[in-house]
Amino acid sequence: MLVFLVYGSGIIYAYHVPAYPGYDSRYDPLIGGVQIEITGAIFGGPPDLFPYNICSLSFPVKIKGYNPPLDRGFITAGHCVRTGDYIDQPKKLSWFDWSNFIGRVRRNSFPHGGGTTNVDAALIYLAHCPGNYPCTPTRNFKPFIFENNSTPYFGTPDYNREVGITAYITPTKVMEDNVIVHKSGRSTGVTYGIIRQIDAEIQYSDADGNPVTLKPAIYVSRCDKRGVCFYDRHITLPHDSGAVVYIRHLIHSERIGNVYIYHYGAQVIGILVVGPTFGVPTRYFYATWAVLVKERWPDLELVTCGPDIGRCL
Amino acid sequence: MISTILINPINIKANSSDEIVYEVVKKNPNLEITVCNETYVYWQFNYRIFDPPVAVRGPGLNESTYIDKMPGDYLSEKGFIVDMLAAKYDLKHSNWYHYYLFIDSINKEIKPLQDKIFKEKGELGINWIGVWYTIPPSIVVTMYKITNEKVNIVLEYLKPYAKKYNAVVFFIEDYFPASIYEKQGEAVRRFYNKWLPSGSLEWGDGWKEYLKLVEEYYNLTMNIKGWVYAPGIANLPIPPNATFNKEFVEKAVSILRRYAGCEVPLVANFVDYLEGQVEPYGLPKNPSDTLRNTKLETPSLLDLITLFMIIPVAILLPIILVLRKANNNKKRKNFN
Repeated sequence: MLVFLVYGSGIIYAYHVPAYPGYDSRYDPLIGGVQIEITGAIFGGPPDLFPYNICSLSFPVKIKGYNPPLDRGFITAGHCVRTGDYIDQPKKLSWFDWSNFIGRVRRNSFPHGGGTTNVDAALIYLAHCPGNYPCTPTRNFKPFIFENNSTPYFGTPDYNREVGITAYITPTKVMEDNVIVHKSGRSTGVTYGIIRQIDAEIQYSDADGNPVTLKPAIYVSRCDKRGVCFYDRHITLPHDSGAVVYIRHLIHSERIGNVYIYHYGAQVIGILVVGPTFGVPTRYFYATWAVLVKERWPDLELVTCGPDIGRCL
Repeated sequence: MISTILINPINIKANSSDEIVYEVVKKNPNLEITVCNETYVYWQFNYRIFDPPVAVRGPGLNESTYIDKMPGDYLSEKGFIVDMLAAKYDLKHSNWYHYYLFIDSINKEIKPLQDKIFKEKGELGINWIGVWYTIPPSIVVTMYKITNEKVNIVLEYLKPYAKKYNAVVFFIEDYFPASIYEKQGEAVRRFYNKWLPSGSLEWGDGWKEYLKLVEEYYNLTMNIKGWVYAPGIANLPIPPNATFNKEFVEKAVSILRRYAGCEVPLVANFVDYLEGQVEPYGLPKNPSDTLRNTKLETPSLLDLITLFMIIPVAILLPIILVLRKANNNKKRKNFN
């Protein structure tokens, strides 16, 4: 009995913030911002019994040199996962459940064990590759970001609660103090703030306490230091890591009867990785540059819904 | 030599040159220490008082508000300048994708200009030239040690674009000329980082020494696990509401310079140690951390059934069957 009690304690695996409504639903095809659950691989092989972490999906990629549909991948924050981990979306229903399995982590730029990196990202390969058997695709994706309608936007809610990814852009100094970005992640949904810095350098610890430096990083705040804030709720919470950070643009509006409907597009700029240790509600976060994913892994193609903007509605 | 700069609202000089409106904005650090190159000191809790209040307009907003005070840190001043100029020139914002692309196209048009100025007139202390996403567009030049001469040189290059797009031109003082930006990054890293012979990374000796100084002056031990800085900007943690202490600042800058060197100008930005601490937001949380309304996830019914019924049965049943078989064999043997 004692053995079972000890074993049973392991089932309470994660102490985490509840998901923002809508973010822990199952998405097929996969889209940015929604929840994933991470299960370790035992000695790099079979999955552990229970997941150990929860994070958010960032944006879809295609791997050059692979034939469709086995060329699909999705990006998340590198510190969330380790290479070989098993990923479920939104979660494993039980320890033997494979119905929500979307793939394993193939690449990780985060230096677990300490070191320095210019991007904190990981690639989830959207396929099931059991042993020596050929891989089979798991789930499709689309270049959109999930937005929950109940969150405060700068602007109005998108008509179908999904914003199309129109581009991946490089942060520039001219954006500082001048551009508002939104983020969509599983713990706090859609929130927004101002880009204060695009070239911050962060020194922090990995899960084992080893120092890691990340440079460059984008500093986004919902307030200025004089205490003037856009809104008074968390801009981020733990497990938002991997959330996609984007400039949200109005791409289409029309009037139907007395109602206006709006469609927005997203220029992806970053992946949320770091938040404040103290201060409630949280006021800021840091994001790693999204375009550096492509620089790190040139064989990845960052997927957009364009160039025809009509496909982004 | 140490010279204290008066804490005033930003020095602004409005000009018009051949029908082009331009502004020159200079910064006001709390202190400028010139012992070892220039170190510009900012102290978050040294609030700047505006009497009368100053109009500001945040990004994305089309209405102005008035503020009567502002924290004294570097980023607050930087943001304040942008907001103040937006209010003064009634700059508006658009959320439309096509307007954003329009500004991007001007940015692309202007970008080669910086290289051209560098080539023909020297670097002039320019950090970057770009266009803010405002209506009308505003062309911005950030420059180290702004002088009228340098402004006039750059204006000659910008005039055609300012006229073409009916743009206002802003010259904003900053401390990071593009020509030494990389060196400013290296200098700050020498203070914060230390690479061991084994190749592993740890907090730099300068940073540790600074934390000891804080302990000595403020009797506060800071156990900081995550911190942020930037090229040319050394963010230095201080206790909340700490009053400006010139002696402490001089000692801190002396430590910073001992490790960062004297080659490049730096900003010593003293900020709240609680506000500035960071951590990754994707690591499993410590169960004792209830700071952010964390709650324990309850196992699903399926997990409980698996745990207390399926697994015990799966393990115990074969054992029972094997034992029963062995027992039966034993009985049969005894019977025979």
